[in-house]
Amino acid sequence: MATSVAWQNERRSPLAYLAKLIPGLILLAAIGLAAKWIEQSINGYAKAHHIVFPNIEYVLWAIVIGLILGNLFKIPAIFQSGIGTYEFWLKVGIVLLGSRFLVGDIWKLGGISLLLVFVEIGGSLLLMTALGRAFGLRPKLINLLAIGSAVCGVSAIIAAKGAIEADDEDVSFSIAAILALGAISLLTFPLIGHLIHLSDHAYGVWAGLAVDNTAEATAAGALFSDTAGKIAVLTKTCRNALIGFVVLGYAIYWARKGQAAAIGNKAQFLWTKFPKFVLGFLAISIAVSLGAFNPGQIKSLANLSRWAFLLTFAGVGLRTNFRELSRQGLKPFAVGVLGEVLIAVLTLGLVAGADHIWGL
Amino acid sequence: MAEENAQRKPLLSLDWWAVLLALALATLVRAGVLKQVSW
Repeated sequence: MATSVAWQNERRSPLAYLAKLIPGLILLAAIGLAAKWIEQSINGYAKAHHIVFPNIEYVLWAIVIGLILGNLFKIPAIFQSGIGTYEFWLKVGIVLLGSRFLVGDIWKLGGISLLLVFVEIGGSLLLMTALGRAFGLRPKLINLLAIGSAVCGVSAIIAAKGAIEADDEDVSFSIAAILALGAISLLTFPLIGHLIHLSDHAYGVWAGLAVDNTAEATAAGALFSDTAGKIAVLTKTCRNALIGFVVLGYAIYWARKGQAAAIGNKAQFLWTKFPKFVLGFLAISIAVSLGAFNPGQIKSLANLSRWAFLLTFAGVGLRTNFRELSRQGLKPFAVGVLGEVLIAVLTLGLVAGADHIWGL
Repeated sequence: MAEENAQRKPLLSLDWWAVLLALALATLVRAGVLKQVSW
């Protein structure tokens, strides 16, 4: 998120600015295409030779190639601006994904997800705060970790930074912990989901509830199945939509203690923090539900969404730098790991309960 | 300082640019300019 904001804030002529993005965009596209090629080649080979081989999705290949390049080589500066756009492509992909949901689906699944999200946010905030205090972390660092794990990862931490006037050091600790945990989730969630035989819907809701960063939640869902990926995005979007309320609560708390500026217009504050891409997602879904697109066009929109996500997954791998993550403090990371494991168990219980009651 | 910050403020947020691009793509698909996007 930080990088993607940085690339947007630069002052230069629009053409020069777009030109600066091209090398990184080409790198993202090349990694994505290579991932698709590897998936198709392995599947083609296995089919031609009648070998039973588990289908490893392009998502995993894109992340793995990105991880290898980003961790074994120093990516030249010329690529960095373009790589930073991966979060932009994530948002474009989410808006276009609205084409795969009728408003009725969003009403049903979104309603259940929203209910679970309320419980998840409350439980995560309490858990992280208790753990942070037990480990003796600084109060604002505890808040950042709690907000990051309860709502939407890095975006929530950045949103809270200004509102609660947190130190830069605490912010970078929290972001590093959330990113490291996101990388671990990518590997563990699909494995656990398959091991305990979760359905696509149940797994998607679980990934959307428990994985913190939107890019990682999308990837963790897509690694399980296409349907799980779509459900994970819907659930995660419900979580993202509540970011403003959580940050506002913490901002008021610190303002009352005299350690942050008071919030003047609360409605304006909520609107500023609200993720606007949710409105685009709903707009496309409403247009599809009203019959504005024929089946072929809906398929095209869904495929455009997949292309946008492909660039995102390549970016997720490239920006996860294990060396940088390992330089961060051990205590915040330990609190993060413990908290995330407990949140994963809590949300799994929630999903199992919801599946039993409503049949996800 | 305030003037400098105002100057640095982007025209639209990243979210709005993403919404605009997605809606523009949807319009192109609807108009038949982008036909059968394959995967």
